[in-house]
Amino acid sequence: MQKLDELCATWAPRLTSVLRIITALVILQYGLTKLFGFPYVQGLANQPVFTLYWFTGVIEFVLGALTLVGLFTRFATFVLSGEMAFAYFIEHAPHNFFPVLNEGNEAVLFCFIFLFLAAAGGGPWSIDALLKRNKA
Amino acid sequence: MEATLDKYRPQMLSILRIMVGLLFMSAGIQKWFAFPVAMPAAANITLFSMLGIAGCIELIGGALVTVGLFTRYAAFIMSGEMAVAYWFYTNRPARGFMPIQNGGTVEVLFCFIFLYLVFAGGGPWSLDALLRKKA
Repeated sequence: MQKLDELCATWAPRLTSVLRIITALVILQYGLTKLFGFPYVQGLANQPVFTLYWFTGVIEFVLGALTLVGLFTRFATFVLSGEMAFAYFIEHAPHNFFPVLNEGNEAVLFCFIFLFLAAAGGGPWSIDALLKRNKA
Repeated sequence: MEATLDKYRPQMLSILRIMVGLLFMSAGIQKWFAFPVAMPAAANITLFSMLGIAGCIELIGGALVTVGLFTRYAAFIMSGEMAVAYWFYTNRPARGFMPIQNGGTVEVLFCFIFLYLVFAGGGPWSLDALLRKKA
């Protein structure tokens, strides 16, 4: 039992990095399809420039890429968390109260994962950690 | 700034856990109790079917993770369930390879959050932590 606790204690920070990388990859898809049409998603791809959806695409692409490599993780994830909160209340909440019915599951999950990452940082497998190690 | 944020990290973990647990439980509630609206595929749900077992895992596991009881074990099983859900149900070649195309983003996110909770545990605001304090 104690061995299991030790194993979890050493791997929990690394798993923070894994969670960060996967979540960033998932949100990058949204930025990429809105800006560049790849991967192509009907109705979402190739937003006209300077519209609301285009700006969200820029946020998702730029900050998603930063989160992916773990550079300025806390800042990037904090902004992304706020964007997802907006997305939920503008896009999904007006349709219905329940996330099951307003299809806001993703937005809620993104919002809270990024909020957690803003508090937790990018973990050991990130450029932030690399820079800190070099400075010390 | 970083030191302040680091101080709240365990509490944030608990908040993430509660939110994810509630969302996950709602999937099970929809399958078994048709609330807030019935799921067409789950109209004649039986216990020993893929959907029935999935609903049980979501209902019981989601409740356990929400209150933070046996977090690691519950999260382990739910992470596995979501991996199965992704590879067997959403990731069909006809629907596209990327999760955004095949509609599997929620499964991917659930899978990796629960994998993280297996290692990180439930945080300070959980029954696990309460029980450990008493012991």
